[in-house]
Amino acid sequence: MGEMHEWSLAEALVTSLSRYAEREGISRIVEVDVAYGELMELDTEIFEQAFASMVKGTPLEGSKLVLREEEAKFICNSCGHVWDFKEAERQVDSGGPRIVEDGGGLESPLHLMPGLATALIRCPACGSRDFTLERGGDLRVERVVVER
Amino acid sequence: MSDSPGAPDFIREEAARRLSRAENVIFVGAGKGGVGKSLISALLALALVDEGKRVGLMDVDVHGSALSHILGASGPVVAGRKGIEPTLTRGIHLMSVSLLVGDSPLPALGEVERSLVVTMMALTNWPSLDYLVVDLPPGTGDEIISALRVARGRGEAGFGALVVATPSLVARRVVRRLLSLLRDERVRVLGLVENMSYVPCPGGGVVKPFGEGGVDGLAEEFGIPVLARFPMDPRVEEAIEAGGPVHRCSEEISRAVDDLVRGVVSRMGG
Repeated sequence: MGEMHEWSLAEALVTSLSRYAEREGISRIVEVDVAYGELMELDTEIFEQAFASMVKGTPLEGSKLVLREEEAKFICNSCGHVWDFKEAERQVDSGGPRIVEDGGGLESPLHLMPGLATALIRCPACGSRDFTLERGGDLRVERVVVER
Repeated sequence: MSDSPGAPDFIREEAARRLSRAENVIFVGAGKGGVGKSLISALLALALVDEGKRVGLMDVDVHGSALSHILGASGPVVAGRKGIEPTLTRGIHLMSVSLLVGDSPLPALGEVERSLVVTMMALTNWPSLDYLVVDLPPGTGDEIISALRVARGRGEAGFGALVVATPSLVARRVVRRLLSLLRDERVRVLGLVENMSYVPCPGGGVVKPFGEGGVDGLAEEFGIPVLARFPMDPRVEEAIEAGGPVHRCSEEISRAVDDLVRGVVSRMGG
């Protein structure tokens, strides 16, 4: 995908962690481990680049950013079928609503908000929208290594 | 060097920071569906624009999203490095799930629903606003709790809620639950808005199909005012379909809108 949500997510991460360091009396954050869902199609290179450009002058300056992708897994609550990101992506690629990137490209809203999955895809076996995205749609800080 | 416990939920924190771009945040809720909450949210936003205010409107009613239809807005939505841009329609900066997925049903449950509301709040690139009106889903479910948590992170200053109710006795019982929740969560309720209060008759006079006094009783019980009473008026529907100024579609609607804006602005302190 383009670089539209990597920058805003990196900015949110750096701002939150800087304030967290201030609140907790942490002088330096040495490492940040972030887990991101496969469904987000995060461009890690752009995310890292955005992160690096924002940490200067913050307690995160010089920190190591570790990004871990979490595979997506869907389970249909109607027929029990289990499927993965590739199958979901085939459906999304075949049509549906799009967000326009300010560079002019088109992107599925699913990558920005995986919570929209039931509106944008269906169970490939039975067509139901009653499925669970068991994992792979989340973005969270898993670990922060600090120096006090 | 050590692992630090309690890493921040940075998406929720970002959502709160983005809500802070509005000087005033007004949640609009209702005890049950079908009482016209989205319409009242839209009317309030339109009238605030008329007052020269910078206004955002956010549709958190992910299952019953109606604002884009009421305001005649459609996608596609534009996004950039700062997130998703609200769609500018009739002077209002609008963000709604329906702008992202159209008319597709969105059967989200529990955690997904909560996460969706928070993510939408975290990614919307609001400009500086005087007022952000947030159209909540009916009832006291997951999305409301999520939205309240985010708003709490933003801080109490410039934050209030409106509750829309009809005069019916059934509505009164369910509205009481929402008012109790808001009171328990220490949300400042600016007042009640009575919708479907009466039907104006041709040639004068009114009919009150749901009776009267129910909303006043709630107002008294909770010590809050009734800020405005809106009629059931077919000209609203006509104005929506015609894409006209729905908040000025009739004298009665216009009067109620003015009462509402006056009440909201004065209770929010200007």
